[in-house]
Amino acid sequence: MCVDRPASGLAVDTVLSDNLGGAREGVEHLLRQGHRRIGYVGDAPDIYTAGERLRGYHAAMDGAGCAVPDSWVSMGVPDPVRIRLALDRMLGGPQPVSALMCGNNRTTVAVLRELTGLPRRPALVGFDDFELADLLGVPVTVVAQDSSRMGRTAAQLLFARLAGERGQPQRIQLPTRLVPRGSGEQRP
Amino acid sequence: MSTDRAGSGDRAEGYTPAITAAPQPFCRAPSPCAGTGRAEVPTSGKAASDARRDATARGARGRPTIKDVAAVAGVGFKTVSRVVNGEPGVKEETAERVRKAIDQLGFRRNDGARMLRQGRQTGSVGLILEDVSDPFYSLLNRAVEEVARAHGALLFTGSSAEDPARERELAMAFCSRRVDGLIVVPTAADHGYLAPEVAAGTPVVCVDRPVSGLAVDTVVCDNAGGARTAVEHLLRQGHRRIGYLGDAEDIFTAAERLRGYRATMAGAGSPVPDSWVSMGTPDPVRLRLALERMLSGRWPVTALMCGNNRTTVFVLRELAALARHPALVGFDDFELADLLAVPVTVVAQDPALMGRTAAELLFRRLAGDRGAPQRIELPTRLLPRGSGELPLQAPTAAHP
Repeated sequence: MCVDRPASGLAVDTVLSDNLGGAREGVEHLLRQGHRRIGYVGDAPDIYTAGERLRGYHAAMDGAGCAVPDSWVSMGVPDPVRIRLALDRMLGGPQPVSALMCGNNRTTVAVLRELTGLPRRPALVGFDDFELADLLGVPVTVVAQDSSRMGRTAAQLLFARLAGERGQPQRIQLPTRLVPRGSGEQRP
Repeated sequence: MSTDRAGSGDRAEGYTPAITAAPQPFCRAPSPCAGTGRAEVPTSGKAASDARRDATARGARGRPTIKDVAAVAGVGFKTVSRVVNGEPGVKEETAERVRKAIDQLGFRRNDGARMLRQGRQTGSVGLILEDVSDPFYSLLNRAVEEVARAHGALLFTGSSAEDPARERELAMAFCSRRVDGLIVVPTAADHGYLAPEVAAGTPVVCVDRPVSGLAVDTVVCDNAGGARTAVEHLLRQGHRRIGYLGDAEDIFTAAERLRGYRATMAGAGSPVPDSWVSMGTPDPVRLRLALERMLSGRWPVTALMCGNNRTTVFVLRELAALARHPALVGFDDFELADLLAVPVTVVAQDPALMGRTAAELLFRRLAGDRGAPQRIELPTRLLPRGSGELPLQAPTAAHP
């Protein structure tokens, strides 16, 4: 029984979120506000969810006809130093990004920390909700998963199997939910 | 449990019968236990004192063995073994020298071999806490897991949801699966039911709260003292009307923190009307009503103390909705406290340290430590970030 990500080499029930679709929706939300220069900060690219969400970002940008220079994408373990350097790159120079999509809650929090005190903050959408996102200075717009539902679904599947259920391995994809709170509705 | 795991620098060798290899304890501080160096050590004369010095030096690089301890203490191998196993036949002053040498070198006995000798085969420990999804307990959980891993043990964790019946079910389930030991965040109910397990040799360590009905090692924080620190901080800013919102009073930590608040207010000569105190399971509706009561009327509070992280977060939300900004200190830190519009002043515990301490106590017991049950009280830390230092508003005609 796999949850959050599929396992390679194993044909088992899997419960996931719609990582690609959710990320695409987050970026499309920013595109709808008028942003065209949108950066992406994600987790280590070998992690399945990180890879899928990056694909969703690219799908949305391609769909809007926006070219994505390499400097607008930074993937890796949410490390403050790497994130600071990536943000300097994305926000500095003649064509800074006007919005950011963050690939998970830890990345979002690390980015928020680095953005503290900056005079001009980009619009921001984060993948994954997190406690207090609504209480920050600028409440954070997120694409939320439902981790309790994911756990519950996976456990129910497992107990169905234990009870003798013998059908084909199932792949259940749970939808995500865009929660606009402020940071993602800033116009460029 | 399989013993043929690939070697890993930070993992104990677990249950292999190689008695000479001491398990790697979990240490972040500069460790005397890193690496695998071992050398023959003379036990008398200048060679011995050189060896003592060398052993100390090597302590910084290699895993100390019983021979190293013997050299440093100036005793025989068998004497060290007796002290480590708690066997009789060693003079107290000699035992003390041996224990000092053990501490100095960071020697750890081979738990795995001993467990095999004692017939312990499961290599697992159980952890029962209130709620695995609570950030405080998740940090504690992870810390216990890392210590267990370093001792080659598997960790099973369950949530009690503060329900004594559920907690007891979990404890019995873990015991029936023959865990080697239990770490428990106990509910308020009597835990005498665990006495037979403890007597049969399954050590239990209690964490976060003490337990009734059982004399076992306990790791708690200085709840009353931490609450006192928080209230004194607010008193120092000039507040006299300070409200308190805490968890259900039958929870030990909640009661202790309330006690600290009341004692400090009494000490400052500030009487506390009933309307300034609201205790119960953190619930937005109850908290909203309590806050409206505390912040209205002729004598509204000017500051609040919140008894734990969940209460603080709910209260912050209700205050934002009410657009009221009393000064605020929360007990327990929480993520993003520093990023809020007004960063939150907290009295912080260290749940990872608490978990680590409890787990290390448990593994000492598993290694044969038969001393009296210990009670370890960890200090708290005030982190003034802004919300606790909001300037006291000048008295007005309505609020003199």
